[in-house]
Amino acid sequence: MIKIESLTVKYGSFTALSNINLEIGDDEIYAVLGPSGCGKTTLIYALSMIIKEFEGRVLINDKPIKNSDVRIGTVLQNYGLLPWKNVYENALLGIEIKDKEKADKLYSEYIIKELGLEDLKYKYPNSLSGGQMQRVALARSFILKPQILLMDEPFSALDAITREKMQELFLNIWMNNKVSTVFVTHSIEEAICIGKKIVILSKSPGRILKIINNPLFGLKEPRLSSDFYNLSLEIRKFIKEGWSIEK
Amino acid sequence: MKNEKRYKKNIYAILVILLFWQIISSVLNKPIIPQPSIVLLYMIKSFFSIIFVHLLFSFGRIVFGVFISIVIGITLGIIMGYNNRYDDILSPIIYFIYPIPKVALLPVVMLFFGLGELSKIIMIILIVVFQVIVAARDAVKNIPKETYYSLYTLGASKYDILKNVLFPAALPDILTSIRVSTGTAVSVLFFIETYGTEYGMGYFIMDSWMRVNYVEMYSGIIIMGILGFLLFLMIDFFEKRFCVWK
Repeated sequence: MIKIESLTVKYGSFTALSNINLEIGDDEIYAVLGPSGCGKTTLIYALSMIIKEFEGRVLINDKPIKNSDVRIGTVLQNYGLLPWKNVYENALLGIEIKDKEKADKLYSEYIIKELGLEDLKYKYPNSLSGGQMQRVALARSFILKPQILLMDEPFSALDAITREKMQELFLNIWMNNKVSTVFVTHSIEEAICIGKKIVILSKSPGRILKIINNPLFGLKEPRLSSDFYNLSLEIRKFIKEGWSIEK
Repeated sequence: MKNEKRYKKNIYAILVILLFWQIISSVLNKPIIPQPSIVLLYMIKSFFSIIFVHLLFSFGRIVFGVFISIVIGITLGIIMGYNNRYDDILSPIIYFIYPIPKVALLPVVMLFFGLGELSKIIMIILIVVFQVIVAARDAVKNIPKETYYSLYTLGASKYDILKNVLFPAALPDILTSIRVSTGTAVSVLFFIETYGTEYGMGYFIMDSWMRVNYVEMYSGIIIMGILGFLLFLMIDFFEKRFCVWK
């Protein structure tokens, strides 16, 4: 469980995030929706302790985060793959650094297979497509068996079709390996497809405008439901007001 | 297939050089340019009995000097690339010494370290080390910040970062810098082997020149070329072996 209590992040005199309060349960995905530059990435950085100076508290299972104790899986915008390691080495990098021992082979093979990376195992990142790199980054996070999973617009660089496939793939694996997840995105559709709850942030400095319970979460094909259209319309309307207030 | 083509090209190039040599020596017909066949024959005949020990000394000096340069260069370069504070202190010093022609430092090095092996190896280090430092530093500086982030979140230690990010990121650029500086190192090696030693290709060539043994001198020059060629092949080999991902 992730508990965020009055989190405020400042870069010098610039306030990036203001007074964020969230509680994310063990089997929940929070999709964080916000305009560009509203502090979404800052939120991920604060939760993963890449930024260490902030006001307020971030607790994981009621304890302050320490990178050495907590298993944090991250999938960042640029995939975070090391170009000098092949797919297999990249996928196992997380767990090898974390545990200083060889990974659980059966489980890593299972995840690699689930993500369709078997045939790419010995390829290097520079010969992979965006979607393939993204799958390697996902594999790395899941093989780690993280306590929390942080995803920063992981699918934003992919084309529409690949993107939908990746969302589906991600949810499939997540359903079998549930973990508190923060999924940052700027796409309303993606938020509806991924999030159990949808958090809408304001323009900079990012504040929480609204938290929506997503009734479509867990459906096989949310896009085919008529509620999908209604919900996205509702969010769109809300955003139109919310994101323009502070002009 | 590709390799075969390259070999064919190399052999072709060598044949052209030999042909030109043959023509010039036949036209001039002077002992200062002996026939290539005589030189090659001498080279093969006396390789193990006379030349080999000189080649070994030269090769050893270069390899040892380059090795020490890599050790110093990687250490300093990575420290400077990773930590701006050290970069600010060390960069001005390096920028000051780097452009000085290293041969100009020879008298100083000889005064401090004598005429023996040490001063020779230090000369090679002086030529190679700066390029390695600067290459390693710049390579580390060019690593995007995000590359570290996913490791930081895992609680990676300094050693983890060094092993998984800094070292592999710097290696290709270090090999390139060595490739560039090895050419200079071989030519300066010739120069520094003309004093305080009776071994090495530099000594061998100068000595045969003094004794007006042109056949021996030319065979020395060819061997020196082969020495450089071998060094480049070695660097290529290391690159293929350790930078597969490139």
